[in-house]
Amino acid sequence: MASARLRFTIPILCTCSLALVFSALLLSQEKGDAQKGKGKGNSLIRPLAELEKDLKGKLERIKVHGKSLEGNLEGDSADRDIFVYLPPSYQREPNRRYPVVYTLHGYGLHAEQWVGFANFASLEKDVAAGTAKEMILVSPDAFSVHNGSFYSNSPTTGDWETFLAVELVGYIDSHYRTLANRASRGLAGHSMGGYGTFRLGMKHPEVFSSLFSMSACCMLDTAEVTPAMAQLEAIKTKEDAAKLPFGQKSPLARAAAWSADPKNPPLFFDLPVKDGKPQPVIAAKWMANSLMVMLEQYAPSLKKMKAIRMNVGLQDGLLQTNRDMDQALAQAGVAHSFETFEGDHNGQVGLNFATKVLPFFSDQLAFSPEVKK
Amino acid sequence: MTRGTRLLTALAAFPLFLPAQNSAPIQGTYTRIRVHGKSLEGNLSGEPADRDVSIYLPPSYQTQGNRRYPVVYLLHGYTNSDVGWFGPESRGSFANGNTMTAAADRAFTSGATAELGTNELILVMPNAYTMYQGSMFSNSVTTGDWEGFIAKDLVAYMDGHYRTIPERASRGLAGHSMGGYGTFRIAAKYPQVFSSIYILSACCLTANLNPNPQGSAAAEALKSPEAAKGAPRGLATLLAEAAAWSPNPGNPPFYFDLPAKDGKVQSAVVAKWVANAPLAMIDQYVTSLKTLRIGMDVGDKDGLSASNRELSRVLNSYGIPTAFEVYDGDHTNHIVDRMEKVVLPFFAKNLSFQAGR
Repeated sequence: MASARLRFTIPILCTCSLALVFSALLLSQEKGDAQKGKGKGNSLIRPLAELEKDLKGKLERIKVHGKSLEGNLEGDSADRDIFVYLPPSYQREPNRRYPVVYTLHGYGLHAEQWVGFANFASLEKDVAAGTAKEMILVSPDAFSVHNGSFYSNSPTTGDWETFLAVELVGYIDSHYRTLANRASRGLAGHSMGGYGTFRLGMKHPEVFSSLFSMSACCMLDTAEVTPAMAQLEAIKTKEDAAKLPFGQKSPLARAAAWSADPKNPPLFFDLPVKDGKPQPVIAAKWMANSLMVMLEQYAPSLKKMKAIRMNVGLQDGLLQTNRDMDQALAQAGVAHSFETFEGDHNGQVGLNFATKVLPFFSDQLAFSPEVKK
Repeated sequence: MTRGTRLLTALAAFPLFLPAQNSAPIQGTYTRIRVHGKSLEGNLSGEPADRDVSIYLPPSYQTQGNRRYPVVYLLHGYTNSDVGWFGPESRGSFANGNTMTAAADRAFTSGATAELGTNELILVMPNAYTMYQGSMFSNSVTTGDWEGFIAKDLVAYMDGHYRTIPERASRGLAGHSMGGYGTFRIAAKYPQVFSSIYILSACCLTANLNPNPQGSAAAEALKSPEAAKGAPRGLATLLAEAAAWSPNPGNPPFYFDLPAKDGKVQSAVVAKWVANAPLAMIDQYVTSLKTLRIGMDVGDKDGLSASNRELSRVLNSYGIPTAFEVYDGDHTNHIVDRMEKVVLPFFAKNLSFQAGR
């Protein structure tokens, strides 16, 4: 096929990157409040100490080394904080094994904040109410130099796909009493974590059997060169980046995750804009990491899932792109359920986790070992 | 296969050459079989899931009944087929009897690899000629999951029916043009299956973000897939790529979307095509590519030489060692020579000839 392909520089217009920035701003607000107020008056992110007081089970904070993250060019730590919630019966019943739900936090958060944002303590209330079953919950920290890894596979940020689906799962299975098979493994996440949920599900259907995406981002990122994006050209170092307002950093994180460039130190990525002009080669890389387009290539993986559920708030800037993904999944013949709820990007995360996510996995995961024939 | 039938097969394969005792035969055996592709079942184009497959067994395969061999899977280019390489309809540089079979015989008996001794390889090429003249070796509900067919179904069939060394270290993948493209994407996605790859004059490397708004008009005018039969190359290419990269089960009878409609570019479709371009996807697969031994080449008069140079540059930028050569030639005129003198020796050097390595 010898037809030469022409390159043009007209970007495809899309509002999804704006929506992401908007979401990040919201998160920024909440995060700032949580840090300033130390729990005073912030209802969205429960401080860990307060949450732990409620727990009958145990919340362990461990470190897991990611060989797949070693040598990442931007210098993120390969030793990651991991929170592991063990249900009350875990100590009492030393022979019992449990399903595991891996949960992925959104952009701008640490795992510690996610545990309080999703409110892991809900599980015990659900179990008491009969709407969920005891299981292990795991929350890996994916905060990076630019505030979030996007759970991708990039030389600049590290191979997060393999770290999570192979190394972390392997570690949890060998250090805790898990039901170590895909039928008993679920994956869920919010926003950037919802993106990671779909992405990891597409690439590792042999590891997870059920997916729950909460208000996922990055359905179709066309790397539109907005004035805000154009201004990022002035950022030359990590120090420059650190001074940026939180809400302006997310394109840097996406560039690190999706358009790595080992020959472009010290940030080791290319932006979709250079000298004020759009860079179609870089925009193409961002598009190639968008869930809507990855779907075509990975539909067979998603068809292997026992269950896929996704939801999004009616007042969320990501509503339309999630609706588009719902349609694209249906079009590709991937069985799933989709629902909307009253709420914005962040306000309902705890409620969603308690009333939808945990009951979903309680229904879908296998709670006893698979019978070997 | 009993000893008797094996002997008969050997005799049938070399009617003009009766080897003396202890003397190695100088010709391999070519067969064409049919392999069922579970990964291709239910494709919306209605392509048969049972595919013709050309198989070349090296000269010593018939005489050394316990010996096992590495396997190189070969992917042909667009508009071509397995018999375009192996005969009898061989064409391009393979024409006039200079088939892949003849080239392999030379390579394994008198060519550059002979002095290595244990260098014989099994060669396998599936027929990827489709109703739109090429599968693009992609993963599409409309065309079928060609990645899975090659990396899973075909590999399992070969390992189950022939004396292969059924291990990654002894499996190679190579292809020309559309097949070079397929080699890249299948190896990137299945690095656990193949250990060495060779990419010849790969097509489709560069993303096109802004296709011609009128470029789909001829395709839009087609009433049915049957009407696409014998379509000129440009139109057929568009159809093949749409079937492979922008499938749409809700859009019969073609079951795909085109990059433009009524003179307007369809940005969502364009994005899907972009996502299938190796130069747009490569950064996601660096970890896979680093585990492979990679060779690639392109002719200096090939319109694809710039994009292949760019692929080589990006691989190098990630510290992925790549044997890359730009040779004097165009897109097709030296492929059989390259296979004999460069590609087969590359695999003879890089694949493992012993199990358990």
